[in-house]
Amino acid sequence: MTKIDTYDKVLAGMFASLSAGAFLGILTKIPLHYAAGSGAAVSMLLMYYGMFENGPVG
Amino acid sequence: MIETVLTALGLLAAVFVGINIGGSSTGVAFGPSVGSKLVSKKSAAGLMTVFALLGGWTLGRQVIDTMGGKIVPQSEFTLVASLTILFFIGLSLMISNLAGVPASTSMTAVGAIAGLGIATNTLNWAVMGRIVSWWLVAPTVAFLIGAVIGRYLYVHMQKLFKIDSSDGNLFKYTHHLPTGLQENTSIREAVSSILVVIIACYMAFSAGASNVANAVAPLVGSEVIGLNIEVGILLGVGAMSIGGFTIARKTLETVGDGITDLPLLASLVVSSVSASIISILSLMGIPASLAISSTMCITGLGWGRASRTVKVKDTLKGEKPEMKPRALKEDTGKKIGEESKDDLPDKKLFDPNIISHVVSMWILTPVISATASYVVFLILNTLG
Repeated sequence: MTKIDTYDKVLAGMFASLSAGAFLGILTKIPLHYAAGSGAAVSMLLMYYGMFENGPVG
Repeated sequence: MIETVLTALGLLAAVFVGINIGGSSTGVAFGPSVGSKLVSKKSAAGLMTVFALLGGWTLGRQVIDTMGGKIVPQSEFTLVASLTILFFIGLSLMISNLAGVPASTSMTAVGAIAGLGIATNTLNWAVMGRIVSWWLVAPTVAFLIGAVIGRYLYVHMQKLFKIDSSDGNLFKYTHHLPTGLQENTSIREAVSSILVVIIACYMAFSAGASNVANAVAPLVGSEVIGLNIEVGILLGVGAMSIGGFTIARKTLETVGDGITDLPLLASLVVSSVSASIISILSLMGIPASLAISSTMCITGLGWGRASRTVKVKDTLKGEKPEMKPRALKEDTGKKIGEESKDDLPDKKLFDPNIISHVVSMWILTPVISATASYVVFLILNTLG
């Protein structure tokens, strides 16, 4: 079985934050676009980490 | 008299914008199909017209509705205001065409309308907040999908997808209609080829859904001009079609905007993902940039593919393999972490700097457009 590495975690984290935003928007009174936008903002931080801080960038 | 002249100028500006959008969209959507000789340039322009009309007629209405009366009330779209907004959209198209600087037409349009709203104190901030929030979500989702495919699925998809194994026509034709496969055409090749064209049509659909509004929303929104939404869509798509049959002849050959530089399979992934994102946003009435979603998807795909060459212990040691997204063409048959940098060819398809490019385009385009439009409308208001 393949081991889970940093990039698997980055992708899982991005998916989790986007999903959490969407669920918050659907299940609570927070407007969907603000909840989803906030989820995307967190996801972007992970994307930044995965690309620049610890990324496969030459 | 002046009203008639201004209305005529407005229609001309809308046609100018439509022609340019049509030219670039046809290149982006049908570049891979024309490049692989699956459809001719004329057929590409014809298909572009049909599917852009379908997209504009169905989902495009929501975007026109948002841009032509929800960001600022319809009453603010005076003849001069509509013309000024179209001028800004046309200007950004000209700058991006002449200087090769990518600028999003949708973002310019929203920025210019927001500038009008701020100058006249009529901007609906709730609608703007909604649009900007989805502008955060769209590129992130595009990157994530691209990255997941690049990291886990792409090498497997390469085994299923095949397009260039046989020479000549793929199908037997009777009266110009395909009636069966040629002897040397495999089913996999036929299915892959049909898929390329279907996805191009899907991309054309999403371009119509999202972009028709950029050409005609300021006119449809204007109570003075009173352009019916159906007529507006036909005008916008008609202009896009002219662009498809004229400008696109050149863009289909020379498009270097990323998508068509990719290996065919990668361009199909990017096209399907970005077309889906833009179609969903259009359905929600959100104007959004196809270029930004597709660029982020390309970035994700390259990142995902490059990340396969890294083992976790190496990244902890600080080792960073190079980003070589020509690697998208390669199937080394190895698992994640087993591949080395040397398994990937040394051709640079993807420049990591592209991200800063996208971010600047993503932030600067609407901000510059909104600021310039604000200043212009403030002066116009002062003058009376």
